[in-house]
Amino acid sequence: MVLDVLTGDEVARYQRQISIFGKNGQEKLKRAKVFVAGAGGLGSSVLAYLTAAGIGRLKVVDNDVVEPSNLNRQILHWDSDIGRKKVASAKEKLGKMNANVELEVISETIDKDTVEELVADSDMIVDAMDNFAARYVLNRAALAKRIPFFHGAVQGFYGQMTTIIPGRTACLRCIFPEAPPPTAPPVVGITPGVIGCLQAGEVIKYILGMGELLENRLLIWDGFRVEMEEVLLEKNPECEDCGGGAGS
Amino acid sequence: MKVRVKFFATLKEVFGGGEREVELGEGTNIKGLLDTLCDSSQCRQKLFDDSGRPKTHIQIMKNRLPIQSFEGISTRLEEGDVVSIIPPMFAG
Repeated sequence: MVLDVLTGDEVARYQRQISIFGKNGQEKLKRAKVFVAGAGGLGSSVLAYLTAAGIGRLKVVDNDVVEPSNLNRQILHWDSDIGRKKVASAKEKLGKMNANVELEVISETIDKDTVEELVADSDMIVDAMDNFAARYVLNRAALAKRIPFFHGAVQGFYGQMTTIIPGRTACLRCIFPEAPPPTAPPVVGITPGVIGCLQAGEVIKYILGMGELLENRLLIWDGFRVEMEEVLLEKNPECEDCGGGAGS
Repeated sequence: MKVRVKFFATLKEVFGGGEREVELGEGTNIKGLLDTLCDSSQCRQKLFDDSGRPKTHIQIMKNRLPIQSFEGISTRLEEGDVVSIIPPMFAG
């Protein structure tokens, strides 16, 4: 059971960010429950930084086991983890990183039949998935629950992300009406490192109500040229998931 | 009329840069723009399928919306439009 007020050890641990957030802000992080969909490349980065930042409760869902080809980018998983469930491997590392964080891990496939129960008690959803079918399921779940959905995806040296706030922004389906074909694209490990880190930053800012979120903007990271660019977005009035209306 | 075209990620390499202004005839649609842009077989392979249609998973935005919310590749362009062409990214 995680207490909602900071212990003395936690005040010392988070001192360098409490000077920005205040103790109240740090306690907001501690009270939050964040659902992270996927414990792969993006998930490793998102989870490491959310754990270090002191998010109180993290729920991690992934149905995969660690394979050798994961190890160039999925930094929570090591040689000794090959063949283990990714959620078990992630829980072990994150627990050692910060024992103040309550970690709930579930080895499960996220689909239309499981998503409602999986996200039921979460305040927000982080997209660290590797396919658009699951992303669309999570997008609809976030819209139904009216909770934020932090999208991220990568390929090669390139990545993209946006922060979706139901009722305020374009949803994932507004931006990407059709899924790309499922294949196993190349990924350089630093790319999910960068995008996952930025997604974690969005989560922290959302919880704290600080700064500006990446709303109605698709950020595209070009690691080949070290450039960040944006595509401005708006709700799609024809969107089959959110309808694009002001109240959706 | 002039429209601005922005290429992202791997498409920058195909088109030799991230952005260009293109002069088009009045009433040109997205398909016409793509035909104008693609002057090499490498480019056509990236953007078009075997039947000569633009690949659906290449994300094309007219200003702030995907072209699917207008009339797809038949979407007409107007002076000053910004067209963004984004290759698929979906790994995690």
